[in-house]
Amino acid sequence: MVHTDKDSKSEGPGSSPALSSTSLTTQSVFRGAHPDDLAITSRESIDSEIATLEARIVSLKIQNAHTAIARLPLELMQEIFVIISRSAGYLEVGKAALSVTWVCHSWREVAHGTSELWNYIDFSNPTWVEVALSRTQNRPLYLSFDFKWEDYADANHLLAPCLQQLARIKIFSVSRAHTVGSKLDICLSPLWNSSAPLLVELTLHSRTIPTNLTPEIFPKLERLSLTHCKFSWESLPIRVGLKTLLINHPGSRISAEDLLERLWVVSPTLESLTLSRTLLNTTATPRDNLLLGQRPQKLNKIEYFEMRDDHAPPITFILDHILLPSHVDAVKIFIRNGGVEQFETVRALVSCRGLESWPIETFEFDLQYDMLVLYLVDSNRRSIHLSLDKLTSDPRSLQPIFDILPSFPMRTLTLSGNALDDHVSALLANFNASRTIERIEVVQVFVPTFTSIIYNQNQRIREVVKFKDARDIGKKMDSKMRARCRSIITFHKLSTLEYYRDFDADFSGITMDQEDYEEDLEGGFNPWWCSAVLSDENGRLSRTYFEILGLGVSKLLFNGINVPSRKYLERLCRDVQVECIDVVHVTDKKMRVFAFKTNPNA
Amino acid sequence: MAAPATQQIKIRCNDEKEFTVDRDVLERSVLIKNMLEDVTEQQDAPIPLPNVSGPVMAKVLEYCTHHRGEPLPSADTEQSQDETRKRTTDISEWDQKFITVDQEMLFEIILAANYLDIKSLLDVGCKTVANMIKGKTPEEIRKLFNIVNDFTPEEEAQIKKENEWAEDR
Repeated sequence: MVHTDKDSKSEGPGSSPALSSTSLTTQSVFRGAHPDDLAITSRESIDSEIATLEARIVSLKIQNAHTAIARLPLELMQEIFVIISRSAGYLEVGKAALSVTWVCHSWREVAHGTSELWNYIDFSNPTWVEVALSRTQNRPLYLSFDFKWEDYADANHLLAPCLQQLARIKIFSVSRAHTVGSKLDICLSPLWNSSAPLLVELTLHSRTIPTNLTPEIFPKLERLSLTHCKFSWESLPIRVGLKTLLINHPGSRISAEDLLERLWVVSPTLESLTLSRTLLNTTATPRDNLLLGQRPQKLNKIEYFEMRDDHAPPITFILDHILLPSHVDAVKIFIRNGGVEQFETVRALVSCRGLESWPIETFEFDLQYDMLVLYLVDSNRRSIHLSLDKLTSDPRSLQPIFDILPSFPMRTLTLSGNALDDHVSALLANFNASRTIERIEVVQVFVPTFTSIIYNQNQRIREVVKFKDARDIGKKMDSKMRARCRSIITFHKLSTLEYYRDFDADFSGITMDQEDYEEDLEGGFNPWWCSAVLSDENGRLSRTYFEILGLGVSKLLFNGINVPSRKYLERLCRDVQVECIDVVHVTDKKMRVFAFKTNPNA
Repeated sequence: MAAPATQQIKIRCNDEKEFTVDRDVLERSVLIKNMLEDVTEQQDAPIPLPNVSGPVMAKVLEYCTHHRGEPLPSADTEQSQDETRKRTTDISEWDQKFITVDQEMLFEIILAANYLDIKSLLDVGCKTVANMIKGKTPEEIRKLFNIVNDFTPEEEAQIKKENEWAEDR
């Protein structure tokens, strides 16, 4: 066979940087040659070029075979690659698997032969999905699709080859599909029509699930997560074996009674329950509505329990009919439009949780103008989080909840919130009755009124000190008092301070406006990080504040476009006894993070 | 009958270096544990370990001594925890300090753990190598392990395509 010019180009060294130094320019061979000799010459030169390249590749492979890491046997390299891939995070598994194949020939061979590396498919490229599927051999498949608008056209190309392998799909997830039209439901139809004997996890977003599902569909299903999906509650595969159930904004709501029946069915195995806006509003009083002759049933295995809804009565109804075991890790209840009925929810929570066997380490009581957040944590970091919204600001209306609070056997009570001042007396009157409280912390950083309560070791409130604004603390607290406070008062939420120079903050005191607070919540940040915005009129941090706040502050975090100078920060660090200062400086949209410690040996 | 925990066992490495070690320390190694169980009578001759050198064995014994008394994973728990274990590259503080060695020694320790069947040490070693690789570009990985790019032009072209898929996702 005579090689053409085209052939020689296609078989040339290409873009390989490793081989470029040895490559020959085949074109030089042709220049000025006799036509009869051309074929022979080019053949010889190309053969010679191929031989050179092959020799070079062999020598490079030999070189790689003598590296230290090459001594690790095949199975250990496979193990390492799988660890890299699995630990890469949910959305990076496939990419991490690919990256090790780009290092050298032998790594590529090893990785391609590691079927465990390819069965997490989270790519949206149809060609890639087919390549990955071919490398998985017969391993169970973990499929995750994140549909964006532009993927819509490819949806069927992507899903069809995967759903042909339904028998070995173990995890199937379609997220962020709310922009994709109903054609995607048609693409997904094989999921409902054939057997998926291995499926343990099903996650769907914005999909319509057929109402005629067979009762035995997904026999091994353990985790079901449906967000913004339309389905019939009757045909949903909620049965024994299910460990995690997450239903978020379903197309149709369910009555508390019907939901309860389903919970009882899965109670032997259910470990995690998250329900958001799933319940029909039951208007009857929960106590009148107890299921006749039905005693509360224990969800023995439950570790995580979260309910978010608009109205209190259906949640109260559920809580009245279940018992949560002592090992439950987190209980979260969020009610949006509760009114006074929410206090019944608190009562029901106290009874269903068996709180007497649960010594609470910290109880946080955060009262905003129309919202109350109760947050309880025990010594094993197990928690209860209760958020009641749309409260009335009338102090008398809160009395029912103050009556309930002493039944929580907490050791430390933390009081905070911009509406706390009006209720402090009533609260303390109730907590005085508690025999378990050893410490009270008051955090009032959102308004220019700072309340601190000094609590003596005899567990009796000795003195309540109120300051008009934060600036006054420094003036009013003499050194003796401050020394005493150092051991008694903890500025709980001020372990980290953030300084937002570019925020439009009230620099005259310690402030934080509600908008910033909500913005942080939406951004997914811990709102307590933004516990204070501190600086003086010139935007410089006030030394006075830090003298006070330094009592409990171990770390300062500055974040903003115009952070103070390093020299200024160093001086500040000397003045206030903080352990370290972190600065996040935003420059040209790139985050440059640097930190230094006041004590270089620390 | 199980031997008392204080029994001393002698081992000999491939460089003739010998160690006398408490039995419970050595039994972190499933290979040695099985060997000891097979031997019914007490014998004074050291157990030969032809695949491990003295300096590497010293490191391995440091690990085994620190972790002595900890429960060994049973076959059942091992299997059930396997997937969870691979999802994290977290290494305890002590183990991290212990495994901060040069590359040669790191791979020697991994090979020794593999040969001696010390699952937890093998795990620490593999996770350390995984952590070294994670987040690096192929070029950085090559530099780290002295690997050269030996891809053929065809492989290079395929990698280019794969790169596009990865960007595409």
